[in-house]
Amino acid sequence: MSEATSQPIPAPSPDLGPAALSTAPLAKTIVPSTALDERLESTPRDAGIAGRVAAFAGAGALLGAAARKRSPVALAAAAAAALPLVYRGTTGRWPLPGKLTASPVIVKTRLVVWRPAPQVYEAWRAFDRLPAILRHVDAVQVIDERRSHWSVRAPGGKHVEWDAEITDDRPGEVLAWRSLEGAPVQQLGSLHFDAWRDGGTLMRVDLRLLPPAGAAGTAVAALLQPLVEREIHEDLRRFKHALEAGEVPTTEGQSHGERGRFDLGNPL
Amino acid sequence: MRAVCWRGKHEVAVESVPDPHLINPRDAIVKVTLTAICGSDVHLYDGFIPTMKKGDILGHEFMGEVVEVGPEVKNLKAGDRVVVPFTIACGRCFYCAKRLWSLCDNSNPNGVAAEAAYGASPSGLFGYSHMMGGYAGGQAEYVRVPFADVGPFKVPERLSDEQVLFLSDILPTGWQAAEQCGIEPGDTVAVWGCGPVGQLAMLSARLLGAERVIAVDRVRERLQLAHEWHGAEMVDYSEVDMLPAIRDLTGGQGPDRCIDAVGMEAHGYGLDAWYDRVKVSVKLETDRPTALREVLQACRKGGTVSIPGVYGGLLDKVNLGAAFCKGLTLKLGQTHVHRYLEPLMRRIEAGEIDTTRLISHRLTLDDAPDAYRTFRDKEDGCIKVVMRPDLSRRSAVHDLDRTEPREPGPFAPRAGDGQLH
Repeated sequence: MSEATSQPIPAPSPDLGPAALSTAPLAKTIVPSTALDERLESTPRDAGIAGRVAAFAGAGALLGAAARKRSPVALAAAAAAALPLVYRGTTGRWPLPGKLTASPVIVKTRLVVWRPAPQVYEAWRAFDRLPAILRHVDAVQVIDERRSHWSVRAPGGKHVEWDAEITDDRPGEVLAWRSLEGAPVQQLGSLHFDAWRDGGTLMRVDLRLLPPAGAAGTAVAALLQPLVEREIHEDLRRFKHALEAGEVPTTEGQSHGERGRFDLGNPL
Repeated sequence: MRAVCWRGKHEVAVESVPDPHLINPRDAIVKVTLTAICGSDVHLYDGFIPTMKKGDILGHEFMGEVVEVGPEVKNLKAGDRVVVPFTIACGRCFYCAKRLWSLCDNSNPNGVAAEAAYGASPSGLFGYSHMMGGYAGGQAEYVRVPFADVGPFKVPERLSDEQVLFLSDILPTGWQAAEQCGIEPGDTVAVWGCGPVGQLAMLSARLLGAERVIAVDRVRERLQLAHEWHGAEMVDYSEVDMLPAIRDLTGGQGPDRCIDAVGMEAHGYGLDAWYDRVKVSVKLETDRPTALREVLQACRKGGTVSIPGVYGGLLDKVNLGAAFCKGLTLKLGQTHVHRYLEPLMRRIEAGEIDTTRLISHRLTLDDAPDAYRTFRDKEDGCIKVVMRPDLSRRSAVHDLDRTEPREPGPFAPRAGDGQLH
């Protein structure tokens, strides 16, 4: 990829988005846009609360009926039949294969930092300094003005690495990016820095993740979505702490008495 | 160093742990010269506060001598004598700028957990569960103090440790409880719970102009202390029917201001108290809000209910309708300790406030396991326990006699006005 490093950054332009990028000079290093973008930008069809409750109720009825028969075979059959219902109740979607259901996982989080937007933007834009602040980002290598390599700890402690490319960069306003080819989890993301009351800045993260392995991957990702959102939110908080207080509060390394057998590791 | 550690419900132990060290640039290390057990520590002892971990160092009321400061702490140096607020505040966020120190945005490393439980995270606290930050507390020989350029408050040598220690929590807490009542001339202030915070709320209410003070408790010597110290009228709810008694004392209309200095582990004799005991025991309720129900019921129309007592979560059968129909004002929350340090110290210096009268037990850290139980059970005339970390149990009586010549000994009540019997 290094042959493309000297490309100049196009002047910031309000209409520069993924669509505009597909005709930009760097287009050939980017995942062919159409199919992926469609999937990333599609909205998952959700069963809604009523649909989810109905799915759970159906699963319950199946299992209940089987339980009354007191036969292991009936129970196994009912469990197999109930599985997709439980899936639908949990994720809001049927576990159908392929393109039909491989829809993006949407992660959103918002946090106000009581510092002016240009300062907040500058601090975030210094990507290589972020790992010192964020808990779940192990390393960021800036490849060139547009591209960077991210190494992140996903839920469960799993390491995920990818190359990202900036698709929109307006100082003090917005930063948008997408993953490049080879990323295990394709993503489109944006971070807006909106002016807020009292000289604060609303940090607005919108992320669309498209996991591998079609429907199965989507199912796993849907279950992980709250954890991913929590991790990102926690890291945004740490970023805010560093910016406002000049340090991230911590108790790591402090003294304590003898711990119990079951409370090693993260206290929460 | 030695430190008082939480081992589980009804179990604390003095353990040998590594000395604390500076972690962040705005940290300081303080050598603790005097520390106390707070009524809210009893909630930890009784297992009412979630996210405690075995081995957590307890204690959020402490003072001492600065021994080391981080590079960003410019206003303190080794040797400074300081009282440390139990709420940890960064001093630079939206909330600190509004002087809402106990709501600081940046001092709780586990804020995400508090957000999940409460919608937002309050400030970090010393020794008060991981949801509140998981900071090691001050019932220890040394303690790490984060944001030391903002919290620790220098105190003059002419004031003794015992005179200023309670600036760390209970004195500002009692003061805020009374202040936020908005006491007007002629007002009657009723205080539920005559423990240390209740006593100091009554004292503060008097200083803020309350005409009459009513003390509600069931521990005779605590009521007696309130009567002698603050001229309080006593309502012993183990003997009389509380609400009618209070109504009788207030011309049928109820106290103008009611303070709940009891919180989540209230006692009671009514059916509702048993209801709470059962529900709490099977984890269907987190708190026993008997006192809260009573203050809402007792308070006069248009009055103020102020709640310094700690509540943790989900409360049942609380008559918010009473609060609505009577147009009550509710004021609650952790104390913005930093706000009150300077003015309250001036009142201590001027002799207007003497909190040493609360101290019933002068002990060492080694005594903590017994002292927690004694304090929880309100045995042995126990009102307030202070502990000297520099002493071990064997030498305690002798050394305390020598260094605090005014005191007759660790277990004896103070001479004169502190007499409880």
